[in-house]
Amino acid sequence: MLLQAEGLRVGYGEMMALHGISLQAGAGEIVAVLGANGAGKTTLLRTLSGLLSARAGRISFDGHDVSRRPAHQLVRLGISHVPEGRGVLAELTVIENLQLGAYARGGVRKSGGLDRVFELFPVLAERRDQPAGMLSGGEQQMLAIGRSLLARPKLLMIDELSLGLAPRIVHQLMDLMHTIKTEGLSVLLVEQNVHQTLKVADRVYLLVNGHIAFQGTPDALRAEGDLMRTYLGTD
Amino acid sequence: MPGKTSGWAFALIAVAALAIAPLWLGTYPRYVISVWLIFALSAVGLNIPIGLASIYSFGHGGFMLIGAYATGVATISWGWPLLPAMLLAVVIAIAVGALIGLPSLRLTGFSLAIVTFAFGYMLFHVVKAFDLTGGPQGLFMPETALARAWGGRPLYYMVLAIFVVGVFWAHSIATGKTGRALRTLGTNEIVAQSLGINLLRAKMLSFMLSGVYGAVAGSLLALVTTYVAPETYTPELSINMFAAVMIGGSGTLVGPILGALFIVLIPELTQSAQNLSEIIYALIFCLVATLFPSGLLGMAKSAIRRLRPQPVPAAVRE
Amino acid sequence: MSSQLLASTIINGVLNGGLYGLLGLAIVLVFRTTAVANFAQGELGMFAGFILLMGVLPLDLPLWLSWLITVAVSGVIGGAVYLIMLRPRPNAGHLNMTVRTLGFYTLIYAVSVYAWGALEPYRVPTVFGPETVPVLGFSISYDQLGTVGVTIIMAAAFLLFFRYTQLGLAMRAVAINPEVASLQGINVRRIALSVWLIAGAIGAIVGLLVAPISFLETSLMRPYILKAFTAAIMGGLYSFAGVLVGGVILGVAESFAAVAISIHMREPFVFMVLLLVLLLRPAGILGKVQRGRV
Ligand SMILES: Nc1ncnc2c1ncn2[C@@H]1O[C@H](COP(=O)(O)OP(=O)(O)OP(=O)(O)O)[C@@H](O)[C@H]1O
Ligand SMILES: [Mg+2]
Repeated sequence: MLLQAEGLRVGYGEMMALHGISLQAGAGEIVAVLGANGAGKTTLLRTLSGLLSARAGRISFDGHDVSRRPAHQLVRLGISHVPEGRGVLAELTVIENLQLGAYARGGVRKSGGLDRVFELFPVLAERRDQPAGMLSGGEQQMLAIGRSLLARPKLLMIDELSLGLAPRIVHQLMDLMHTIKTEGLSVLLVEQNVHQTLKVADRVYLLVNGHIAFQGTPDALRAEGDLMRTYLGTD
Repeated sequence: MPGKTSGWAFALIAVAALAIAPLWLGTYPRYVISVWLIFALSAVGLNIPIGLASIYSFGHGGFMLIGAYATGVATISWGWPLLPAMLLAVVIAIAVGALIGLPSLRLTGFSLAIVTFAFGYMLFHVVKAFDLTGGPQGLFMPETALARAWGGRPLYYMVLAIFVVGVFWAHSIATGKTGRALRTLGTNEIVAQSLGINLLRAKMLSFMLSGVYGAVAGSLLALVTTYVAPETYTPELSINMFAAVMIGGSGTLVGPILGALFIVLIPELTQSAQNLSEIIYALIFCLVATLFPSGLLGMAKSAIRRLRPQPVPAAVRE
Repeated sequence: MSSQLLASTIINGVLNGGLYGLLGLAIVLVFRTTAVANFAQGELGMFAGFILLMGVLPLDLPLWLSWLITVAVSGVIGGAVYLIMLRPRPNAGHLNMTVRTLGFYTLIYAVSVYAWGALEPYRVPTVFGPETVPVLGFSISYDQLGTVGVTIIMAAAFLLFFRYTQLGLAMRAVAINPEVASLQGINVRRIALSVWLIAGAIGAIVGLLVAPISFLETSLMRPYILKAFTAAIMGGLYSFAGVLVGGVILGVAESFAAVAISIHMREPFVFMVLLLVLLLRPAGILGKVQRGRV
């Protein structure tokens, strides 16, 4: 397993947000985490990427115990996290944002991959010298993903890929996840868009109030009508 | 702290001790205690913007300057009696406090802090420039009857009485409607606004109130030291007052009083260490600020709390 | 006003204003990346003057080398301040962090007075030489020329560094959003350390430029700190170019106030400029949007 988390307990002050979460992601796999608002999805990703410390539990990644590693070191090991809200630095230009993505790999020139990002997202090449804040929501998401790819991750974690985006863009980005996967990257998707996610995911976790209520294949989840209705609001 | 019965009892004992002590104490210790009480009064007032409303105020020395100079000029140059002179000081401080508070809504905390700092800095340079205020030499206060009679004890009791009144007033402000409003806006301005708190008025009020305290303290300082010199009211005074509140423990009643004790007493106590005293003061200042962010009071509280086990808080990874 | 007086007023204003701007750059950099208002920024410069005079000059090295050593030492002091005074208890809040710099300000001043006395002027040799040159019919000293020159070089280096280097870009990222920066693999604490190193070095450069022109004494930088803060605010606490332009405008304005109104009005005048800028252009003279952190 590329990523293996066991028994993660995470809280804010007195309140616990995750009550012992175990989760795995293999190489070249798309794993989705679904759950309603406040279920703890963001907290989980932030813990995995080293922004938050777990009070209990272990995380191992690519053979290393990373439970206590800070975020900036995990990037070098190969975890890249597109945070909730995308984390595009609006004051910086598109190219500067991309350069930051390659920071852990010694800059864009050394990292290579800029051409590839521009090939995936031609619009970024067109607007390379504009402030990132001028991009549309979809373009900002592309920038955030492109920036993450420049860190040459083994695992790409995206918090709410589809939030606030037009269906056409969501489609395009989900396709992209598939392409990335075939190149051997693993993807951990946190989503509320159930239908789109179940189409691309290999395995799904359903998070309910900081517990894992289900894990398995998309088909198995679809078969759990009660879970789908109660926690994901779908029929 | 007053509020619990034990707090009131403690306050009562402390005031009683401060009231009987001068019957035995000599002139110098009495002088030191007076200076402490004056700085404590000033710090208690400064705690209103800092501790309640979380507004940086780096110009509190300016209010003390206003108090000292208004009292000095009115009594010496215009021959006013003491009380009207002090009243004048308070009125000016209120007006100036309102002026400083006026732009507070348009400014970020940092900018407002620099404005307050600049205000104290400007006054320091202005009083040095004019003959009315005695120029660079400053003003010598005539000896008042309060200081002459009974070895100066009446002046001491006046300081103590004003200090006690000031502390109780601050307590009632902090626990009353104004205090609640200031604390709310200090935590979250948007919430405060939605609760119908007039932000501008509240912020201006916090500066005006702290101005009253500063001016009265400055007046008393002029009387006790019998000397109004620009060098007393440098920007460093503002910094020391700010430090007193933060080191003692902002947002509490006892904290600023403790902090004032710190800034008055440490230099006095370490005087035997000759020129090293300033360094020792600065070192302790640095140590407390760095290791005990919630001040001396917080340090005492956490020492008590450490006796009980605590849950580990969520923390950003090191 | 005679043209001679006019020229010297402008030159003085530009010269001082450039120094306010430089110091303001360090203040903005520290403020943006570590959210601390560094009140000790000026004192670092004063201390550097004494390091040069007392520590480095006795080694009898060439003057320029002594200069560089002093700047490096001061940078190390800046870094040490960060490590010793700002690293512990990092979640204590801005107010407490600012109090810590006030503590350091008090400490560095106390140590200097202890070692070198209050109000005791020392003469510091200049790297530029004592001569004057005629420029357009006015005589300008090498010192003035050199100061302006170093200021311009420093300002340019600063702007280029932030625009074109990886480290400069990383610092800007940390200033905008430390968390997003750390997700790009940037070690935010190491960046903060570098920022304080730079702040210490800039403080030293300003101190070493001021010291030979006025006499070196323990309160050397007192008049500078407020003006540097004002310059920082004129730049909206954000734009480096705005800080530099703001510093120069402030310097020239106060220089004219001193000549045209009264020398005593020079300091109060700064307050008026500050208020004016804050009321008319709260986002800074070149700014569009306010992005204050506190
Ligand atoms: N910084 C914080 N401080 C305190 N509590 C928090 C904080 N962040 C999240 N929480 C709480 O932790 C729980 C989990 O929140 P989290 O953001 O992880 O949920 P989520 O599944 O990502 O929700 P959403 O779909 O709204 O993004 C919620 O109850 C939330 O209120
Ligand atoms: Mg979330």
